[in-house]
Order: sequence, then C-alpha cells, then structure tokens
Amino acid sequence: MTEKLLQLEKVTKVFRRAGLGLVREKSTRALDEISLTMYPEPAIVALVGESGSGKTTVCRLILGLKKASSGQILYKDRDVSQWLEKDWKNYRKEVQIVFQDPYGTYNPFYRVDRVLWTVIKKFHLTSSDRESRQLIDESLEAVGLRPREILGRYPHQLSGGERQRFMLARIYLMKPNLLVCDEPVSMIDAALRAMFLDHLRDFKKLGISCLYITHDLNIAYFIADSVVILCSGQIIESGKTESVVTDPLHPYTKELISSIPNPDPRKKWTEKLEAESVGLQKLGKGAGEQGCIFYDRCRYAMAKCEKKRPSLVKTKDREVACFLTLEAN
Amino acid sequence: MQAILQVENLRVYFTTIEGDCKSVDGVSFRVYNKEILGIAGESGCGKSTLIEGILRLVKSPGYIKSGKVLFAGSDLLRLKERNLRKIRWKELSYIPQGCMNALNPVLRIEEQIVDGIVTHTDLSGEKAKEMTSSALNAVGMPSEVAGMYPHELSGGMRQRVAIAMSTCLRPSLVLADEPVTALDVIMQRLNLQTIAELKERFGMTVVLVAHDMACHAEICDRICIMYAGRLMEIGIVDQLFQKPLHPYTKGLLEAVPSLERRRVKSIAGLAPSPLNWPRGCRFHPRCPFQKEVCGKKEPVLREVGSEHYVACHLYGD
Repeated sequence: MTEKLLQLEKVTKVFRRAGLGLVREKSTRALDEISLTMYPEPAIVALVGESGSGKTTVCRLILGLKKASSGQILYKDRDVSQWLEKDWKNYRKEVQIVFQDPYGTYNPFYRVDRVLWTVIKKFHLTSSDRESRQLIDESLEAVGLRPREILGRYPHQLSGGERQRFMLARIYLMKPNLLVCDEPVSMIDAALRAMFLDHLRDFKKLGISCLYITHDLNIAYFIADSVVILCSGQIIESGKTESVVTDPLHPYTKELISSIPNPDPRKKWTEKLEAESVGLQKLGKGAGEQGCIFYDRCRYAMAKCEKKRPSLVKTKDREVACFLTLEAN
Repeated sequence: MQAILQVENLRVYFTTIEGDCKSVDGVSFRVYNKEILGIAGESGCGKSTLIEGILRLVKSPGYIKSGKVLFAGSDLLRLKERNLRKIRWKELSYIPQGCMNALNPVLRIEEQIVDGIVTHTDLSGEKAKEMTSSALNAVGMPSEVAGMYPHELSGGMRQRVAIAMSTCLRPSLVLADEPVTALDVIMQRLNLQTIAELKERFGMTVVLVAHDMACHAEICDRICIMYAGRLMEIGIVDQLFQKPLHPYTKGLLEAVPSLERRRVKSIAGLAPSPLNWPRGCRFHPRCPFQKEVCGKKEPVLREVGSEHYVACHLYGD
C-alpha cells in the first residue's frame, strides 16, 4: 500500500467573529499551514501542545466537524471537501473519536448499552440480535469490563474510567482504521490511565491507528511511536518519539520537556521559570505576524527570528522549524 | 518540629438516601510550621472533602461528624462563625479547586481582591488597592492585570490570580486544593514554583492537594497518601518515593509515567464506594499482599521510622 491513510496539506483554520455594533471584528488564526500524514501501517501519533495551541481544532477538522479555511485534508488520497453524504458515512465508520469528557458524552436518559446498539444498527455490523449480543460482550471484555456489571446501567452509575473504557469498547466493535483521541485520560485517575493506554496499544495490534491529542508529554512518550509538537497553531517539531523526547531541538520542545514534573524527589527542577517569559500570553498573537511564534519566549532568540518565520525543515531524523537547527546543519 | 495545624480523627460524612457516605473517615495528621505537605490519592478518596472539612466549608448534605482541627490554639470546628471569620483568609487561606473558574466574571480582578482584603481587615480601599498590585507582582504578574476581567486571562493566569488573592494577606497557612490540575506542563511548573517561592518569601506553610505524584516530588517536604477516606502512609518525600511501604503507595508510584520509565503498572480493581467501605483494611480487596487479618481488622497508622507512618498489617506486630 502506497496510499496515505490521512493527510493534512497546509491546512489553515481562521475563526472569524463578525463585527456588530459594539463588538469589534476579530479573527483568530487557530491553525497555520499544518501538514501531517498518517500512513496505513498502524501507528500511534501524538499531537502535543499547550492549551490554546490548536490541538482540538485539528481534531475537529479531521472529523469533518469544521471546515478548513484553506488547505486540503485527504483521506486515502481523496479530498474530503469533495465528498458526498455516503462518503462521509463510510468515513465515520473508518475514523472514530474518543472525546475528553467522559461525563458529557453520554445521554443521561439512556442506558449505556444504547451506545453500542446504535453503532451496530447504523453500520449493520451483525446479521442477528444474538450475534450483536455476542459482539457486545466480546468488545466489553476486550477492554476489561464485565458485560454483566456494565450492561443495563445508566451513565451516572459508571465511573469516569469505566465510561472511557466503554467508549473504547465501541471502538473495538467498529474496528476503524483511525482513532482520534482528544485528551481521553485527562479526566480519569492516574491508576486507570495506564489501563486505558494499554488498550490503545492492543488496538494498534488489531490494525487501528491512533492520533492521540494531549498536552502531557509523559503520556505521549509512553504510548506514541512519533510525536508532533504544536505551538500556537504551527507544527514546530515532529519526529520519532524517542529522538524528540530524549534530544529535543526546538527551544519550545526543550522547555516543555524540562517542565514535566519528575516523580523522583532527587531530581527537581533546577532553574526557575520566569513568569515574565510566559507572561501575558503573547504567544497567541504571534501567529499571523511575521516573526517566529516562539520569539517572545525564546532564550536563544536572534534578530532574524523577529523578522522572518522559520519553516519546517527536514533534518536527519525529524522536522524542526527553528533557525538554530538550520544553522547547525 | 512545631505543628501549625493538627487534625485529629476528622470525619466528614454526606447524608444520602442509601445512608452516610463516609468521604473522610477518621483522618489524623499534623502540618509542621513552614513546610509544604502534600496530600495524594486517586479521585474520590476524599482529598478535597478533607480540605473543606478543615476549613469548615462542607456544604449540606455534607456535615462534619466528629474530630478536631487545632489551629492557632483553638479548635476550628468548635469556633463561633464570627471568630472563624477573623482567622479565615488572614491566617488560614484557601486556593480552591478549579480556581480558574472561581473568579467572578463580571468584576475586574482588582475589585475581587480588594473585596477580600477589605472584608477581612480594617484597611481602607486605597491601601487595599496598593496591596492588590503588590500581590499580583509577587506572583509575577504586571499590575495592569488588576484592571482586567477574568476572561481576558488564560486559565493558568487566572489560577495565579487566585494564588495572589489567597496569599495577599500573608496567611500563615494556605490550603491549596489541586491548584495546578488542568494546566499544561509549563503553566503547571510556573504555578508550582510560584507557590514554593511565596512560601519561602513570606514564611508560609502550605498544604498541597494534587493527584499527580510528580508534582509532590517536585515541591513537597512531606506527603500523606490517602485512600478511601483514610490516610495510608505519611512520610518525608525522599523517603517515601525511595522506599514506599504501603502496597497502595507502591501501586500509586508505579502508575506514574515518567520520561525515564516507560512501563507503568496500574493498580488492579476499582476504588471502593464511600457508602460501603470494605471491612478491615480498605485496600485489602485490591492488595497483592493481603493476609487473613487484612479482611478482619482495620490497621491503624503507626510510626515505623522517623516521621514515617504507615497503616498496614505487613508492618509492625
């Protein structure tokens, strides 16, 4: 297979607020020429960025919940903007999502079973009710839930961890080509996180690729094969997880990695982060202007960083958007 | 070492149709002067309720069943509301959970901080304004922030405003309930460092509740491990991370992912329900080392080393 599973080509998303009366017109460039490719071989790619960096916008664009302002999104080499309703239906079967909030994704009036039954019926996954029941049991067991204890319950009777795993059962049931996870474990406990992430790994073995959106590099390092670092709507570094995490090149990635709290009291943060450097979030404004988006906060900033924005350049094991690495090569 | 706060056998229950929900069920510990004490545990173990209990902020249907909270020579739980008000904020302050949402959206930052200062001191409005701007500077924010509305600030900055607010009267003890959860790592680091720095500068004592063990490792001096409404282990951070004794603490530490260790193990089983804690040791149904006695008798917190307490049948006897 040479075709690409999913490809984002210079995708830009601008949110506009129309001016009306006292409200000034305003536009926010949430994503700026993002290019991202996922290949058919199952892999877990982590999209990492701080809040406001545009992670969720990427997720929405991929799911087709929002339209890109410019650029193309290709699924199996076909442009999604040209699609008809039936293409979308097929796409929804092959690309699935697990959202962040396990409390907001269920309809509290229905038993949780309905989530799985709807999927089975909509996509005609089975030919008989008996088969469906078997499939449901199998998928619940695959994610470590006991069907007898879970089925027939209402969402409020399940814990956050159970709810998220129930969503994974839905994924197991459908076996999509691509799973998009938008911070799926940020609202569940550390102890249950590991379990959830292990299931994602199992899914990879079943041939399900995963785009994992998170702000937590620890998690990215734990599960992802490659990482993409997003900062103010731009990709500033991407590559194999191991190389990016152990040897970050972009100053922003460096800052991110050094800020991760280490669960070892013998290794504490050595230097103090200056409040001014993170100061009044100028970052958001940076995008859309001329210079490098990280200019205000970068300790290695040079004169040209203010005037010109570095583009993403391929080095030997990754892509980086920084003049420093360009010069070093 | 001198204890600034002493909690004795605190029980905070919630009345439900199915009976009492025993969220905090007999917790005793001390907070020493000028230390940062961490409280860790999974969600639902009663960390936040414990803090609310100490501050007497428990709302109905919750109530404080029994216990003592000794602070500045008096029992907070038996103090008259009027007298408690004199201590709150000035001596004992609080950074609420999700404090980025704790600010009033229609008031400027300055008005909110001034309000707190004027209510709890005899200072004039002018003086309070000055204090506001110095409090903001102390947490590394420019004075202009005072004139802004909460929506103009990012989540991390709002959280820092909350930190400025709770420390502006230089309280001797600050109880911080998950002050850095839901922030990205850089903001998290900045805010934790700010808390640690203020603590040094103003000689405060801090109780830090967080579920992330890594945060505790970064700034805490001692740490309490809470499970199912009770404390399982208390110890000095270095000691506890290097040589955890309680099987639950071991489990918690193994479940933390880090850049140096890619394999994490989760604790099998689910947290029990506060309506019906397991008999005997509350952790025994999930414990890999359980013995016969564990299901029958509840272990008490006993001292096993210097400043190291553990509630487990595996130790002692």
